[in-house]
Amino acid sequence: MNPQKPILVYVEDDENSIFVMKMVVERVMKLPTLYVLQSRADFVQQVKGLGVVPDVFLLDIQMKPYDGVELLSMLRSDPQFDKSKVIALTASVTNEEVSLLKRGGFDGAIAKPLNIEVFPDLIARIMKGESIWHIV
Amino acid sequence: MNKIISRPTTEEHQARKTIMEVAYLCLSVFLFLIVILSGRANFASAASRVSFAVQVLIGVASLACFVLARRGHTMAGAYFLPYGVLLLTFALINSTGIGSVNALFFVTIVVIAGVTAGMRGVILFAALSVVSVVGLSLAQAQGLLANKTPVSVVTPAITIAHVVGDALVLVLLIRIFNQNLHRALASNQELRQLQTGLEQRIAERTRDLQIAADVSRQITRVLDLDVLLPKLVQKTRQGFNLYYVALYLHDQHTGKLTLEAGAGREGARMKSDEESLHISARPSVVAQAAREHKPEIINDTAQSAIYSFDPHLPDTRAEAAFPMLVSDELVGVLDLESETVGRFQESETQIFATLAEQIAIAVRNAQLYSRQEQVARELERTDLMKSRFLASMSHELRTPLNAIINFTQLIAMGVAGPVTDEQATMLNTSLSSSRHLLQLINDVLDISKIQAGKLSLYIEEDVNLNVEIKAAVDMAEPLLQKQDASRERPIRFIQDVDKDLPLTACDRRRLRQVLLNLLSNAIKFTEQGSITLSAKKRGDEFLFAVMDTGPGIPREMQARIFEPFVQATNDNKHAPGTGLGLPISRSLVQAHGGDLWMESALGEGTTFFFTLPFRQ
Repeated sequence: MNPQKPILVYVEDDENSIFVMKMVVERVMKLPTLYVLQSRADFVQQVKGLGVVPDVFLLDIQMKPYDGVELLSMLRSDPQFDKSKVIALTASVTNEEVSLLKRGGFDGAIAKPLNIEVFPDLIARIMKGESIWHIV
Repeated sequence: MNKIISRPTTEEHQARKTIMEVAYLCLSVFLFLIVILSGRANFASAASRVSFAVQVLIGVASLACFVLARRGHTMAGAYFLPYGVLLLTFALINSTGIGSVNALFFVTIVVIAGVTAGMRGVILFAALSVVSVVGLSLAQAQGLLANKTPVSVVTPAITIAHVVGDALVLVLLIRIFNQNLHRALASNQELRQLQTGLEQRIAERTRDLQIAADVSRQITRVLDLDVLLPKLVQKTRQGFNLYYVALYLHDQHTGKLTLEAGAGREGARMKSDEESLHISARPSVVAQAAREHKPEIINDTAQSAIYSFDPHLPDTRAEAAFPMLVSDELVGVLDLESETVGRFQESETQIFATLAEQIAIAVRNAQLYSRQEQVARELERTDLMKSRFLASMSHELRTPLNAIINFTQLIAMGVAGPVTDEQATMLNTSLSSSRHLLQLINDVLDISKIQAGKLSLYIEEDVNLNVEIKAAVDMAEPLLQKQDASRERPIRFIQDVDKDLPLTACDRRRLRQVLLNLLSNAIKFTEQGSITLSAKKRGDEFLFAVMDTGPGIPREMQARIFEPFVQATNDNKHAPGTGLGLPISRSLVQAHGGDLWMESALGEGTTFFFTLPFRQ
């Protein structure tokens, strides 16, 4: 694991969001690649198929058929990803949802729309082990 | 002796018996007294001892008569009287002879006879007494008695006058007594008859009322007409022992009276046939009552032109229909039918009318209730739709907006190639407008939640207010710098925040939202001077204040600015706001248990205060 070059996985069903995240990660943060996976029952298999252990999972919350919370529980059932940080990306910043995410075991949350100016810094802090709840 | 005593009624007999008992007791005591007194005086000779024995016998006989009388042999007393008179006369012969003392005895006998045997007894015994006195006087005059004193005419004359006079008075008294007694007994009889009648009627009314109350209980308990009305007709039929009971409901638009519930099998059949009639139907007792708004009572259907024969109910001989009215508006008709001619008497019709009234109210209540329920269901549906709309707002509206914001930001950052200054300015304007739109969406969602009472706080323990204040200030400062860029002299930003404010429990994000809202308002509306943010702990709460040297808010606007979509100024040269910030902020503070208010003077500036309870 290289803190300067973290391996990021993004699970999202909105094409525009995927495009923006790819731009931010590959062009702004200048990381080699952003792995994009789909919300499917074989999610853990998809991750294992990448051949690397991701440092940070960025999970969209409002997705179908499996939402971010369900994907998190799939991940957490496999000890291989114990060290990976799992961050929720959410547009609805209701209190209910924030407490749901915290109780659900997320390591942090980042509000949508993505604030591109602060996002690289947030990832860096997450890599340092900070708990980030950037949801204002 | 039967002739002496007038044939008594049961009551008279009873009353007289009591009087006789008392009289016999008095007589016995009296006789014993005489026996003892006369015995003491003449105990020396053998003749007087015989006389004493005879007197004791008389006493025992009178006592026996008393006992017999008590046991119900009332005639014993009557038999005893002449017997007693004869024996006493005999005793007198043996003793003193005629005199004033004996006159008293005869008077006593007459009085007792009057009391015990009535008027004719008085006359008889008065006559006997006169004969006795005359006899005794003659005997004494001839020297036949022990008493040797010659008798004068005066003594027996006085005695006779005494007896006759007393007898006359007694006869009068007895007549009056008897009349009164008769009258009293007669009125007593009447009273008793009245009482029995009343008791019977009370029992009937009580039964009726109990049934009515029972029915009423059903009425107030059940709001579902389909359950209530069949029960009502069944109960009414059973309770009042009727042949048939039915309820018709009136439809104001069609004028139709539809059978809503009918008792028994006939009722069920007619209900399944959906029996109905028009209010103008003739002949029909039900329609007549509905038209007239008055009870229609037919006590003999054979004699009635209004009654129409129903093949389902061949045994009906009397029918009564009661309109069910609520404030003179026809709800329906309660129809009662009986197999008995003359069944519906006035005494019961009032109860039926009341029952019909109550059913009317119940039906109206149930109708209102079901309408209310429908409205509630619609409201619920609307509420659900609103919630869905809000959820879709938050997702479907924000997703494309997020894309707009992010793409604009990426382009402005030069990610997709070099950008000229002019392009950058335009892109940034687009960006800030998009962000404003996003804020508007978020605010609308917030205010919807507040108005729906669904705003909930996410309270965290041990929140460091100094950290949160700094975060809010950090977010506000870029706004201030941007405003300053267009001004000659920058606005001074003064922080008067106590260091080391104690940790407290609150919703951090909402607190920051409030602070940022107040700060950005101050920045937006202040052209020159300063903005001061202060935060202090005062007692068991924190007091926050954001003070500016802006234009101030006119008094008439001061209350209104807390209403949604109201802004103090209409000109848009200031950065546009949503007009929702203050109402949201106030609601957020109030949800924390604090308060938010303002003080302002035109031309001097405005200060917004809010408090936050200290919670460890």
